[in-house]
Amino acid sequence: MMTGDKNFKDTLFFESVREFWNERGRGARYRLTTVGISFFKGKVTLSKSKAENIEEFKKYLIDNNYCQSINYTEDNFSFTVEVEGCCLRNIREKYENNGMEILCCPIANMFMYIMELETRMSPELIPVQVENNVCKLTIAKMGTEEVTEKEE
Amino acid sequence: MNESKEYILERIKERKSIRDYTDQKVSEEDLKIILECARFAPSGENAQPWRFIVVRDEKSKEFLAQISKNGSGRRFTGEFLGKQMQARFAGLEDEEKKKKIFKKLTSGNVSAFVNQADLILIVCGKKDVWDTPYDCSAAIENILLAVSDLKLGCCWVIACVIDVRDEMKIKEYFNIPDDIKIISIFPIGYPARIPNIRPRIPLEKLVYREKYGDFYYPSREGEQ
Repeated sequence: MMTGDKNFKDTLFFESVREFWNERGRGARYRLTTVGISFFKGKVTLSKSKAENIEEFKKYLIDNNYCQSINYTEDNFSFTVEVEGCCLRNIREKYENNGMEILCCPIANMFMYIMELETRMSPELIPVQVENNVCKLTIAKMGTEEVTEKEE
Repeated sequence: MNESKEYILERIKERKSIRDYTDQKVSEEDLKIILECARFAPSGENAQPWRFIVVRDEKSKEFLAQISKNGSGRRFTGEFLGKQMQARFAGLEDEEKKKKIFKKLTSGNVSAFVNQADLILIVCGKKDVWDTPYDCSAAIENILLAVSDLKLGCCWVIACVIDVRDEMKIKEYFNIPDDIKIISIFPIGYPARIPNIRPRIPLEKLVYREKYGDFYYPSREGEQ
């Protein structure tokens, strides 16, 4: 089977998102919050337990070389995932090289989907931070004024 | 400029985003005028892609209010956690006032009012045309001006549909087919409180001569 240059598909993905950004501006990120979910849903067996689903998804990603490692923490307001060595690094670098924020992260989308299965409310991904090949995905669980009382 | 030439400007200036409503009902006659104004908006190739759903059922209005509240609340909670909100209000020195604003934004209450209005108009657009967002926006401006001219109140609310996940929930609830997208929702009713006009950027900072960059109107004295 012919596979071609992997960078070709990465470039197409990035350019599609970039053109969407050019058309829709900042709002584009809210139209890309389901990208990747249907694919991952076909690969991961989801149960009723959020904790199990997170572990299952994490295992799938690592076992299938989507990334090298995943660590996560959770508090009352947010769920934070650190993804090391993501297979989408090429695309991420295209955002960086073009001075754009990361508009779409399929892995974050799936984590948000897993959380929504429990709460029935869509969470919010705050801008992705990247450091030393680690993407820090911070997901605000839901809207709540109690967050303003959170200690630094 | 004589009075007749200022008429349209004055009508446009009178339009405000209303977030507080009385219990008074919107008449069918007024509703029809509003919808007729929307219907006569311009559209590319005269496609007229707009479609409207009139929602008066309390349970449905509550559903839209809840989605709007969640949409606004999570976005602002995300902004708070990401520190963008603190940066945006860094210039505000009154800490108590700042905290009050942060609480209001993160709670989502800025968009939770929609069920207070007598009715909510959902503006949808057909996908299979070239210019749906633009066409529907023209219809929406007609709606806003008609509402204002009838001494009613309205607010353009997108918090409940800007995220595709929320739009999907609303589409399912209201049986909206796949070939139609939701543009925005509009609570319409009698205003209980009319806010002051919001600041506008002066023309001196908006209009360029021939090419982008060279201002058309000279700056007023004292302005940068």
